Amino acid sequence: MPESPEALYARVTASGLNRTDVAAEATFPWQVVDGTLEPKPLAPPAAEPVARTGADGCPICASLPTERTIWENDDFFVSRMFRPSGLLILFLQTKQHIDFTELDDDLAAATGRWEVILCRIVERLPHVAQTYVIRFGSGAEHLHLWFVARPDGFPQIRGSLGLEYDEILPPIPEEVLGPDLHEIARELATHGGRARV
Amino acid sequence: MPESPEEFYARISAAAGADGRLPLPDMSDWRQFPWEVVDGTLVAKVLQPPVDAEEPREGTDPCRVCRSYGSDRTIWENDHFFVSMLGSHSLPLVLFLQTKEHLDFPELDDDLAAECGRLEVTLCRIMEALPHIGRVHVMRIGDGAEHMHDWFIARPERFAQIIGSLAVEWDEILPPVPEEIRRADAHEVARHLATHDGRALV
Ligand SMILES: [Zn+2]
Ligand SMILES: [Zn+2]
Repeated sequence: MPESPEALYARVTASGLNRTDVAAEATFPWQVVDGTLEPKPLAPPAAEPVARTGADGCPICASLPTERTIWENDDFFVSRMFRPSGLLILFLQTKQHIDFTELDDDLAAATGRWEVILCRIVERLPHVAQTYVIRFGSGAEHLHLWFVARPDGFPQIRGSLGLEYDEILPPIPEEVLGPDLHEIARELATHGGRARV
Repeated sequence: MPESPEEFYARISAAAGADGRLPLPDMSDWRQFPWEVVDGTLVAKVLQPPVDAEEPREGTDPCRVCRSYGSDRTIWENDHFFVSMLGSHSLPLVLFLQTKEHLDFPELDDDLAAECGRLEVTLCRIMEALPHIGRVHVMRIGDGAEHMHDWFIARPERFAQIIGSLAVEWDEILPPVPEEIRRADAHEVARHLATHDGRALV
């Protein structure tokens, strides 16, 4: 089960927050000038859109047979986050290399049903306040929906900015995360498909 | 049609003034804003101890989402869902997909979940096909109100800074999209959506 708010707070206090390099990313919107926080100036538009990872060397296609996959059925698979993370994060992905906007009616309906089922399962875990379901799609064209569990009891970690705590908080210990992933996969498999952890 | 990246940039540059600096938005005062400046350096705010009980989300009494149905923000409906505009936004287009019934996202039954999935894909596809839109983010956050409301946030194309999970913060930083542009785009989206299902209300 996920840590209680008190256990999470104790661990964060003991290890300290990550020296996150989020702030160094090109997409980070803020900067400090003369000691004051301000939005970065917007740079002019580029001539070409930022390219996404396509079918060639697609990390999502490549991840299917790996141990990151916790569940699969004929059309979809669910993976754990690709790096250590401060929040419980899962991905729902198609087995076929297609973009979200390319889903046909049947796959779109199945996506909707799995979104609700997975959201419900994660949200029912103890100490999870809310589960965000998000399609960005700016990094890779292959469909990957984010499921981000927000911990209960921290008013600072709430709403769309809550996602940033994935990199700010120290990573969830494997002995906490592993059993939660197993539990989620087992519950998903009661609705269909096969648990892989 | 949404502004081209060049038009978008020209409008923002005009609002920013000569040094290119936009004013610091209210967002930086939010409790949920994760950053602060300490000794001239940007750092993550210290995490405060957990509270005994979180502030509840908006429930049924009164529910902003229920009340908004039928207002001039509603642009499309079918028997189970309706689509609304956000009151004001700075990214090119921000719409909500909502159930007519007061239900939370995890409470959707199998049929509504399937219909929700189809509408998410259709609406995302329509918005992404508008000129000058880079990508459409589809988000269920659900922290503010329990009544299901999926966000559809269109980000502009060709701005390397406005991309990915942080793109939504620019909606607070940039000046709002002019009313006549966003209304016309919402009408276009509603008209397209109605060729698949339901009725356009604008
Ligand atoms: Zn792929
Ligand atoms: Zn309601």
